Amino acid sequence: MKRLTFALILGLLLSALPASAVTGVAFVHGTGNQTDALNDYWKSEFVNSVRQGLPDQSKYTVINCKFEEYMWTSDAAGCLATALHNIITTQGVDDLVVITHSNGGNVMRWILSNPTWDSRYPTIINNIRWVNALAPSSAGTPLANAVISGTVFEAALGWLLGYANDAVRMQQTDWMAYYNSTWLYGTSGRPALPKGFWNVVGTDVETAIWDGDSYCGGYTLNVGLEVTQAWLNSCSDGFLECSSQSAAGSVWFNDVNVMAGGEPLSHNQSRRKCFGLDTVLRNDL
Amino acid sequence: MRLTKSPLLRAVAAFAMVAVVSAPAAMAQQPLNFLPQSDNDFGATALVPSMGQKARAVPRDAAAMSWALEADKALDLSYAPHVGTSKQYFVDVTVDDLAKGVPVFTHAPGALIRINPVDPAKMAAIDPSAVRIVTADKRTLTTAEAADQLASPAQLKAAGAPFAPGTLAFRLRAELGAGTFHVSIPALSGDTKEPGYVVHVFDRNSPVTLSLGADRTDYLHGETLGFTARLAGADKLSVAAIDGFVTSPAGRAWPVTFTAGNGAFHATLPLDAVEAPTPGLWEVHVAIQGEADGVAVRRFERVAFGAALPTARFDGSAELVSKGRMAVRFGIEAASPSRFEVRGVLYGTARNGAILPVAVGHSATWIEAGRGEIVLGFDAKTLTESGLRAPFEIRDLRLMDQGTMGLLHRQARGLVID
Repeated sequence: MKRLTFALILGLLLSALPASAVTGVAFVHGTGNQTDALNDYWKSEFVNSVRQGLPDQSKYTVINCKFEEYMWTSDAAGCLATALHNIITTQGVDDLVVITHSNGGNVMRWILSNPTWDSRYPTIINNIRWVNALAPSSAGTPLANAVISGTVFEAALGWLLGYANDAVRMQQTDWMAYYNSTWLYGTSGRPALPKGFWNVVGTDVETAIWDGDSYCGGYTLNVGLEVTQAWLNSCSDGFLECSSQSAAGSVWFNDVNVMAGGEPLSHNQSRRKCFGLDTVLRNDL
Repeated sequence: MRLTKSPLLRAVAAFAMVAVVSAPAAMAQQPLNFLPQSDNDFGATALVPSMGQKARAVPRDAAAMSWALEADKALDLSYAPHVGTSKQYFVDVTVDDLAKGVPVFTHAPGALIRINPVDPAKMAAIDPSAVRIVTADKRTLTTAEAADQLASPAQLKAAGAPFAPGTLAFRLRAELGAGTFHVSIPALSGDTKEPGYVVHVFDRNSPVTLSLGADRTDYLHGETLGFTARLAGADKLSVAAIDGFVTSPAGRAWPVTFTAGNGAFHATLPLDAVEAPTPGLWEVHVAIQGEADGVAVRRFERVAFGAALPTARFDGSAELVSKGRMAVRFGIEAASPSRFEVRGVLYGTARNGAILPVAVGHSATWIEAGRGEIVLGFDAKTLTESGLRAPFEIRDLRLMDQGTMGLLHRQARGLVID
């Protein structure tokens, strides 16, 4: 019976994939406007390690977009679509693994959930194998609520002054609840996304000054997260609660179950070469 | 924990991913009837054209797509609105206020306090050593003495926390207890009239919460907004004041008056959604002052909801134009030109009579003001492989305006196809 099941699954798999799939990988950053995400957001040691899992290591792209905008805008999803469509159509990639971090998961989920929004979206969706979403902010974060705070006058000022950008505004928990119920798929009770959306969940922040693991990804980046974690419930990566990171799609794994030494991944470590994350992602290609 | 992702799921997705061609196969057209709307359904009765430019540059080409759903994963079509809960409040203060001391109301030990400049360009970053905290028993402490966690503006910035530049955050030591503290920065001087700083208090260990929700996720212009607020979490609760207002994405604001009833506070407001298309959501904001078991509490909450101009509607006509793809042509009446989308979930009947989801479909096209149509179909192979049979239903039927991002119609059970 096991053999029969295995044969059935193998048959389905073989018939579902092109005879000679061209595998590629795309790295999609989180909130912020990036012009050199390879060095400023991910670090080249991380990207170069992950892409070693590709049969042809040239089939990769690192996205540089304006993710301070709402997810549906031409500067956000439109820019991401241009880059993904480009690697598919010019490099012949038809088995694309998309690796997103934080709000990059929302922008990707916009494309997956709204295939008629842009005529390039169906081609992109058809050529994606799945999305590996590192700490996605699928249900928003109370920190965004705190940033967009105060009376109507303060809210208006924050808006005008620009530090509370639209991407942060969008990641308020009540805003994401609305978008998840209306424009986005993949959360509980809603239709599934057309492709798998696999979450890597960061569960804690460690900033012990004597613990070398706290320094991975940059010690100073983690100190602030220790305080921001106080806004969140006990399971969080310092920026996002675990419930938000696992709100859409499927949980691939929680950090402490897979990372070397059972280390948690803070929100800044889940985009860096920390505790074997790069190796796990490489082996997934 | 599963490191290896299911190859079966991958195969199913690959099978199901077939773009739907808009042109239906020729067949005798079968008129279909919309089902009656249920409680949380809504749709336009009278149309209103959109004002000015669209919220985005809208393409004019048609697009359609469908994909398979797993039959055993039930969908929730109750459309329950989000209810927010809060253990926090905010107050905007002048430089003078903060120099003299701002009262901070905490109901439980260990509150988190954040101070940020309203305009970071005009205000210096807050120096943690300049802050003083006066406890409920009148002791004056530095942040080093009063806080067990503190993040300086530089540390918050390094962490990528998107607070305004110059923000300081710290957590009060639990041993200081609860009650009314006073936070001050005595060395401050400057404008004494305009709000200079926001003081945010997160009473994280308190059981007292303010919950707030709208009675629907989405509204159309001309409908009545409804909101419910409730203070809970203590044996003895009293409310001295509750204030609220509604804001639109374009920046307009309306006060709302809450009245008590059935252990909660309720407010309504006629929706005036006539404004230039602006991305974003409407919000209701509520601030409450009261006491919980004799201790002063302050809470603030804000909840977003959708509101749209009814720029188009289903005109009531629907025809089955392809049985193989369960393609339905919907008549649309539009008040202003835009790219409109119909989306829905196809359900079919199993041998045991259960109604199960088969696929989700989307179809969008440009429609000028007046009459138009959109054909919503589903992949024929997905339909065949599902093994499900008639009667079919299109559920979670929606009409969207992709130009204004308005949800114009939503119906849990749209129509039956025998």
